[in-house]
Amino acid sequence: MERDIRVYLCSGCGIGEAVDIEALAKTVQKDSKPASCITHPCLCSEEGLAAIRKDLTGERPCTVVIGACSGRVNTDLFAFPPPTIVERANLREQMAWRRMADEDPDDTRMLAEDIMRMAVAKARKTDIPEPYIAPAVHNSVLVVGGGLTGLTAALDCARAGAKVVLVEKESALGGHVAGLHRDTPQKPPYRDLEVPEIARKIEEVCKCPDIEVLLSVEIEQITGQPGMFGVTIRQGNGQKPEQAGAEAAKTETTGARKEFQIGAIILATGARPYDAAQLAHLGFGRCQNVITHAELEAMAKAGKIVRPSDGRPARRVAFIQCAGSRDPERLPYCSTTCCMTSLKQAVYIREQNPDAQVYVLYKDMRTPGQYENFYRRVQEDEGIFLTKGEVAEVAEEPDKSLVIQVRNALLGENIQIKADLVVLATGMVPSTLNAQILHLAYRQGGDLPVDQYGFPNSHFICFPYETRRTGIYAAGCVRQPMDSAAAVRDASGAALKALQCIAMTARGAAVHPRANDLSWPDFYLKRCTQCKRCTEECPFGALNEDVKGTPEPNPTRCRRCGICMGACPERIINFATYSIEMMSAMIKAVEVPDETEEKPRVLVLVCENDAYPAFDIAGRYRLGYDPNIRIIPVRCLGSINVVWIKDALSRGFDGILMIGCKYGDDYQCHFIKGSELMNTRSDNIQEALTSMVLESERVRLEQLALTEYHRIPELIGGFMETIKEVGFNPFKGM
Amino acid sequence: MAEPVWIEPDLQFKRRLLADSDTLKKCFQCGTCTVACPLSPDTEPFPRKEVLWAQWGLKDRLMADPDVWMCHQCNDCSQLCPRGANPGDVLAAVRQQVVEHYAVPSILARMVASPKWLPVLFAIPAVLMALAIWATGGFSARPEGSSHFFAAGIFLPDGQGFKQANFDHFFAHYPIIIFFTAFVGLALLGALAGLVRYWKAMDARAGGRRAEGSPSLIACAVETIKEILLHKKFTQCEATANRYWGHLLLFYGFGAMFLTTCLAALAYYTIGYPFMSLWHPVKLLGNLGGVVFLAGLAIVIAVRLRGGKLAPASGYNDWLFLAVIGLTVVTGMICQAARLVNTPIPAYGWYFVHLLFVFFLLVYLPYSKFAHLLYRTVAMIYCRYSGREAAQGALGAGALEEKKAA
Repeated sequence: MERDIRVYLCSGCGIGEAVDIEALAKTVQKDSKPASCITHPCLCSEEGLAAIRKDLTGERPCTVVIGACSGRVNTDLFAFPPPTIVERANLREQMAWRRMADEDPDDTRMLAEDIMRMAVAKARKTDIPEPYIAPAVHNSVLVVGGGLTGLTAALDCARAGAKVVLVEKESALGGHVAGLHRDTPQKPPYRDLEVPEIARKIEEVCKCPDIEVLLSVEIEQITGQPGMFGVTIRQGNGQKPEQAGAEAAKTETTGARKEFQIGAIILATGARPYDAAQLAHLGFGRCQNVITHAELEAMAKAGKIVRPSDGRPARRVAFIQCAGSRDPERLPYCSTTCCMTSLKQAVYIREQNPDAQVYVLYKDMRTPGQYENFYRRVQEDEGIFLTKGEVAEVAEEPDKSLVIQVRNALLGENIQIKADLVVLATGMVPSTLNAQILHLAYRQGGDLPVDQYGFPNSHFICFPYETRRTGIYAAGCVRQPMDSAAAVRDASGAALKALQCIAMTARGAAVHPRANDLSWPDFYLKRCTQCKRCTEECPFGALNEDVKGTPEPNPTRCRRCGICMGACPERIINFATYSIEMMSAMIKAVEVPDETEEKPRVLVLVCENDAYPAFDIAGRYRLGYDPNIRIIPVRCLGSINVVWIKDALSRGFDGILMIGCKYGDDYQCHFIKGSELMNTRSDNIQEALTSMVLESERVRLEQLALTEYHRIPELIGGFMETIKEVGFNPFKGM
Repeated sequence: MAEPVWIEPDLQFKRRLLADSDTLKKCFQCGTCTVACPLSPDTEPFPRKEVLWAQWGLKDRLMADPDVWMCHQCNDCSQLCPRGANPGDVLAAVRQQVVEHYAVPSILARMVASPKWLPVLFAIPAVLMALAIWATGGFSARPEGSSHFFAAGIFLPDGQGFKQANFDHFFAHYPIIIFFTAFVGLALLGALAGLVRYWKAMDARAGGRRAEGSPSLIACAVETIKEILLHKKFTQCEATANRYWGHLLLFYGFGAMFLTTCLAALAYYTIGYPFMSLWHPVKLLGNLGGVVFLAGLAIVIAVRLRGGKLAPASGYNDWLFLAVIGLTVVTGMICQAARLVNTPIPAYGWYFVHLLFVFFLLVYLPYSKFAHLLYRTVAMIYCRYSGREAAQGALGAGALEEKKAA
């Protein structure tokens, strides 16, 4: 349907001081030919908004282009319901507020004009997205793992009205916590050990009519996509559920396999202790009386803590903290719970024998939050001795006692301590490391992609629980090392995400991070050449392939980043609100002065997640930068198609700067691999430059965190210097 | 690399320290105390390491550590401790353990440290004196000078002593002198043995090392005594200036009275007793000393009673020592007053009590808190002798100037 483009220019917040708003309106009218273009001194006021609303009552639907503040602010005020489309042109933060002290008013004017031309060009190419509504979305959650996290998540989901299938590999529920003698303090005054309440939780789960518990099972395969996963469960290794657990398993698995229709999945498979066999230098395997936390916990649960060598009670017990942890050669991270576990077990030993001595040898004692209170309580125990130090060696005496060498101890020198029993505080290894759990029928592989340590994170700072597979959420120790209290909170968090995923998928909306985005990539497959770039590069494994290699989209797995769009050499992947054509039109809308005017033009493609807000913040702080740049936000650097670079260069732009999130091990990219992909695609860009006989310096990729807005003037200035040195684009004016 | 050192916590020892200062549990080794301490040297500073050793029950180290005596318990550290521990009190507890550890015979130190033995400790001099009074015919007027040691004799009670408050009439002094001298002498011999062992332990722990150019033992002793007389260490403590005044007044007040007593005794057995007049210079010195002492005592007791972070923890040993030394002086003054107003029975009664306290103070000196007089002096001399004090001087002065500049 034909739409009216209506432009509204605001002169408030300093925009009117920066440019002649009436002159700008005339230019917009002349160049972009909208149905109307009016100005207002304060568009966000009631009168300003009324002026816009008045125009929306006509026959034809309108696309409203608002030349005012950044599209990141006043989103509630400038929200006009469909069929109106709203496009925001950033005249305030990225034009008026970023002016340099000695800026030529002509440059400011040209910047403002180009911002408006680009906005109108974009508006013309924007459609109202038609959401992808799946045929059937199941309000059911598969919880993998029946430990504390899994049980909690299952209960939370069931209470919220979802059907839950809880699968557990072992023959009983409870997991790690069920094997604990005592748990660390969970309630004020955080001084006393507690009996784990896991039994009550298991009972609740078993009684819940909406939870189906399957014990001694494995996942054979998961097909489909969020809202409609097809899960096949297989009875594992012919084990039968334990008698006590049989009651728990309300539904016996009938036959060898069972299938479920699932909306979202929570992975709560926990962690396993770090392999102590790697700790021979601390005596494990070499000395009989060197054991791990897990072994001591089992002894305490059984009733008596003794020396394995002779069964005599342990009178002097040494705990070696960070056994293998925080060691670049072994387990480089901190597992956060080992300090508390050692303090807890020290209390077991002291309770068993009031004359026992417990030594805790630590790198750093980490008892976060309220656990400080428990640390204090342990410290008050006269028989518990704490010191910092590096354990260099553990040696066995003829009587199987142990001598521990400690270097750089707090006590001021290298010391040695004799002990009857040494306990190694081993860290946690995620169950997803080198393991097959979910068996996803995804083109990119059967299991969740993991980070360098094996945790299935996607972006743990901003989006906990999110894995790199949409609709599958990790919670508990499989996500990051944590204690039971944190695992319970984590389970609730993941349960909420899973429920949210099902609800949003049902409406055809993206879950995250572009929450509520109704657009989705449309593949014009007739022109597909089966190059497989999109299916390989999608960070979320959204695309499967048929035998020929043609992509098979799974729209509800998609996070709408557009990385496939950037990858596609045939440019057949587009969104209703974000397309190859739209961006090309914006690039072409910029008026590039010819060489004689000596005004360079640089296209800045910025990631809308971090870099674009950083430019807004720079504006808010009135950090001035060069007016000869033209900023276009992109969903992710990974969505940049090389054709835009070509378009810009043939249009006469002198340089192209791409600014996105940090990449590498500690990436900040909201779509995991976008900025990194753009970096590796530079080969294609170099090709484009070579084919046009242009210098490689004209295109640059920069990484910028949200907090680094202060770098923007220098970053822009530096690139403008480079362009000055390289000289003007020879294609100018052609 | 240096040979590793065996660490064997002594739980019994730790329990004894905890009984005196259980705040040592709270320390988490941040070292604020060590930075705050104006007396701590820059190498191996205290009190952090002592608190850690105490937490680990490392008796051997603490029993050979002169630093516990370098602390004058101003409680700058306790005031700043972020965990509410009182390092100053921990060191005081260690000092008490040093006194008990090196005492010869050690049983006596344990008796002095325990309230249940207090009656016995007082009974010993009481019985001895009762015997002396009975044996020498108390409450008798006797010929002028007959109370002199050489003119001793046995007198039968004739009731004359009740007519005039004259302590010579109460009983003859020479047996008391003999008893006291013998006991004090033995106690001092025991103390000497303890101090020698302490010195050797400190020296062994330091590996017999001395800083280059450290002065001779005599020079160190002279310097240390000068320092003690001037109360220099106390002046460096910031948080509690009143402790300086309290101890200074106690110290000089007691000194003046001690000197008076010595002069009197000397005169008594040589030229007769010439100081009966209140206006005699020696008598004046004694009484002035008493007043100064009581002023100091009032300050010291006030500091302890006021409580709070700056007050040292006050255990049985602390109060016992203050009580004994205070009551020695107070009963002495009452005796003098009773004599002046000529009321024989109260005079004799108080005199008896006074002598009990004198006996307690002097004979049990090496076993009570009074022993700090000996151990602290020796430890301070050792610090100078081993070169530790010199290091302190450089840093202490610098740090103080910096603090003042700030």
